[in-house]
Amino acid sequence: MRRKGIRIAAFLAACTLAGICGYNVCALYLDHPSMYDYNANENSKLMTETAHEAGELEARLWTVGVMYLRNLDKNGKLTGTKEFRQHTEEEMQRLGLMDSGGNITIGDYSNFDYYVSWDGNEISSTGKSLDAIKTTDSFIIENGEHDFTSDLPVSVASIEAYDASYGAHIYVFGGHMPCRRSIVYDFDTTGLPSWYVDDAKYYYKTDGTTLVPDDYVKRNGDYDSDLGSWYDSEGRYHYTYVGQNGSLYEMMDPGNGDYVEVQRATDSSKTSSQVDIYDYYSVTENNRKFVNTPVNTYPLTVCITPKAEFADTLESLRKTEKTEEENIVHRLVETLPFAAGFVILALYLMWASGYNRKEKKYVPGEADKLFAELPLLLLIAAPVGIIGLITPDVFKELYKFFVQYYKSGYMPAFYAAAESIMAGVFLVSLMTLMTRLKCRTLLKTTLCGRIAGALWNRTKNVCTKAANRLALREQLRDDRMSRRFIIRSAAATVFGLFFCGMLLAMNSLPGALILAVIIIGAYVYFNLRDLSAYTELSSHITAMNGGDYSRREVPVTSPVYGQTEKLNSISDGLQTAVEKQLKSERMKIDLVTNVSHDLKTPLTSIISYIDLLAQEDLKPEARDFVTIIQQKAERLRTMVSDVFDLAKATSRTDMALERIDAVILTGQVLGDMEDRIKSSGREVRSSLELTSAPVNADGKKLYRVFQNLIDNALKYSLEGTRVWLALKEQAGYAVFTVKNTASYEMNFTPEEITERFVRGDESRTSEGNGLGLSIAKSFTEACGGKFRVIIDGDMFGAEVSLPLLEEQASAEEAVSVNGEE
Amino acid sequence: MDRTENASILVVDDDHDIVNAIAMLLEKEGYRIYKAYNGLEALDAVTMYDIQLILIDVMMPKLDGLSAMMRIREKKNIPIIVLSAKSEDSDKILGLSMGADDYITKPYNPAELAARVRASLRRYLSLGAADSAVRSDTVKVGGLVLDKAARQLYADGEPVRLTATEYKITELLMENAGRVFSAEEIYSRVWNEDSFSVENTVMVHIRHIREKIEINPGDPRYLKVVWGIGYKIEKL
Repeated sequence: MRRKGIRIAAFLAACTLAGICGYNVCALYLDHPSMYDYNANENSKLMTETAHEAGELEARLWTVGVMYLRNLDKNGKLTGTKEFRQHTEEEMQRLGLMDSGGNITIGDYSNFDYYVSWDGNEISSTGKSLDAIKTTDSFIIENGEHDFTSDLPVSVASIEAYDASYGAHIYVFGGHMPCRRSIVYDFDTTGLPSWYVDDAKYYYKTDGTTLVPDDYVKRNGDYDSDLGSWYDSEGRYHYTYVGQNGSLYEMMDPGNGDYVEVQRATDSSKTSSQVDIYDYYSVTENNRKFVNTPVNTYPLTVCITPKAEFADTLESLRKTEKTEEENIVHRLVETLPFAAGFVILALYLMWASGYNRKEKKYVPGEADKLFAELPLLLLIAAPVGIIGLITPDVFKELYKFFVQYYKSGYMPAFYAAAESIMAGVFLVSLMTLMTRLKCRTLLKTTLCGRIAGALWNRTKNVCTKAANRLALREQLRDDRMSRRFIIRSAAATVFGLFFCGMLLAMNSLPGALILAVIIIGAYVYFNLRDLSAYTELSSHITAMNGGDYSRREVPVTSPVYGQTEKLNSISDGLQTAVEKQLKSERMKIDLVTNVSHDLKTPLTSIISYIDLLAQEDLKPEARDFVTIIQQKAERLRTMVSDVFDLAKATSRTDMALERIDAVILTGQVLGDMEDRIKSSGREVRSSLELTSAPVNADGKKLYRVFQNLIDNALKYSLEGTRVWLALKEQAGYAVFTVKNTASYEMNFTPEEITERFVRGDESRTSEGNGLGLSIAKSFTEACGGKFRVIIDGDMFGAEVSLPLLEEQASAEEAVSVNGEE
Repeated sequence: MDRTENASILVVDDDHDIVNAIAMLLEKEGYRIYKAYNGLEALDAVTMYDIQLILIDVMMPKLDGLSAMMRIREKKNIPIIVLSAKSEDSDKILGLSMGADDYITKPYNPAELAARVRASLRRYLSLGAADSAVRSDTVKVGGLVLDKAARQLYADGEPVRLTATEYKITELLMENAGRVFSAEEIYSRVWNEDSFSVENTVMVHIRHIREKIEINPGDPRYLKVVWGIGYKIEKL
């Protein structure tokens, strides 16, 4: 808790310090309006005006010197031709340097004493000589050259006089004059086809009297390809042009008419003391040579001196200004400790932020969970505001605002409050960001980070759900083929999109196509390779289905290795099971065979001796008994035989399937049973819809089936009723049905009646052993057919369905098969 | 005919009661009976006595019936009837192919047994001479002899009375012994008419013939029905 208190105190202190700084700066501005408003300072204003005045005066004096005094004779009259004099006066008047009466008008410059002379012809404000005017404060041009020793702020930069090529001396008037040039004197036309200098109105030859003919002056220049041309301070003509190779060339005429290519002297071949800004090198023929021309001097003198009292004013102003500057610096230095204190406190808060004393680690607070973009933005915006508020321009605008609506006296308070609030915002932002950095939650708490995180989670969830739903993970664990397929597809897609996209972005369509073909080719090749392995697996399954349970070996690297191994283990299991079942089946048959043999042996004796007994001379009663025993022994014999047959049929051994005709078989059975049918007293009505019904069956067994069914129908049908027999085709099956009206109530289900030893009449007194239908069913099924019992009221029906074979197999074939038997 | 009356028969079975029962049955028919209870005894008896027929069981101790039969066959050509509880077709075929003249399954019908013994003896004793003189107009299949000149069929030497149709069917099947004839084929060749749904008719005739020539019509030796296909007389 104490830590937290310290932190709060430090925060408040820092804000206060920021406020103090703001207050100080504001107060400073208010005390020194010149800091933000140049016009607000009377001193500065005066200094500027003075400089401007001096500059104007200098330009006027200079122009008077080179245009007028230069051409005066000893008597103070203009020399030269009438035309020349007229032109000169005309231009002097145009420039405002001469009135209509021919008197020179320098203008009203009451703060200055001035003097100008050309070769003895002189003009001054007081009529005194140069020496009388010249003081240490004077600004002087002697022999055409400036003297910069004076600190009088005079603008002279645009006043030029220089020698040009072909011996021309050119005077360019200063920026304070109405035009730059008016007359060009001393123009030597010897060997000159034509000449042109900017906008001068008149051109005079070197003798100072002869006007240069118009056809010498080619206005609009000779140098169409010029990018620009100028004269340097020493009167040398420069021009630049673009050469045929496209490079920019700068050419200069050093004064002798031979242009050389030059470069500014900015390289290190010359020591800095030797170079001034107008030095040039000739670079002709790769030889670098310093081009120097002598600077011409003129007999021109200009002097401007502030008057004594004006000089004093200037001096005092200069002093005031200096004091004020010192004062400002002093006040700013006084403010520095507050700023330093703020920085220290800010550093402390950065270090201390977020630490939880109880948990002894950095814990993000509630504020640290807001989106981090906000503090990030404020962290940048707050300093901009803090610094911006104390810039002169902002202060100026605010000052205007306050003066207009409130009082300027409110401003320091406003500054203090605004600065401390912004500092507070800055510190809070800084602290929360630092805390987040320490807790490593910065990225997570940004809105962008959270959106990205949410998107990622959503995607992950969807993928996980999809994967779970498909149970892909489990399936893919062993299914190397699918796994490879998925990985390969993903890789091909990503690789293809990335590189093809890249190639397309690089504008290489053929490259993208070739790459796409390669990727697709590889994809198809590997998938086909896996598919061939799958085909093997498929053939394995087919073989297993066909009963081939042998093991298959595939290399461990094969994509179907896992599956093949599983199939192998299934094969092994099945094989064992089948072998086991075969063994038990064989054992069952052996058992039945043995039992039936064991039954047959005593039965043989019984039958033999009964027969012998029957031949004895017996009493009538005893003969009846013997007859009964004989019947029962016979029945026992059939039963043993039937049970044996049934067991064999169930195990499907001893079957001889061949192509037989159910129609023929039906006829044969009916013919075979003709006597029994007749003796039974029932009528058999048969309807054979088919002329032939080829089926694959064991003839003897099927004969037993038909015989049993007809026999059954005769035995258990009501006397005087008819037995209905039919053979028809039904959905690819030959269907043999026997129907009869039962002589008793059938209180059993079709399923029950086909069970072994189940008989329709529960009393079991009549002939039969209850195996008839059971044998019929077993034999039918052993022949690959279906057996069905239908009970509908008193109607009992039995149905045998066998799949019909195709007709085209010839009867001959069937005959020859049987012929071999 | 008379020679069969006092023929000597060897009965071989490990079950004494059965041997006795058979002995009593056959003694009543007038045969002389020798008894043996295993294969080895049977071999001794064959060498010791003049025996015309052997009834032998298959499953016996010391030497089984089939092996004994093969040894006997090396020396003697007398008829041997196998008497076995094994009733499967494969067993019958095995027995017959190893030299048995007949195969009777247990439990046998005593009357049938007696009839088969008689038939075998007759074939062996009475017709043995006739065998050598095979005439061209005579067709012989096992114990069946068809005298085409006299239009007479003999079954095990005894004349059989057949109707004209039955004779024609028998002649057709005997002349093509082993071949299966469909009912339609038989009908068209015997009746010389086109056939339609004649299965029943032919089958009835076949059954009648069987009843006349077979000792047990339910288990025919010669005239067989190939169920679902046709009819044939076994080539023996």
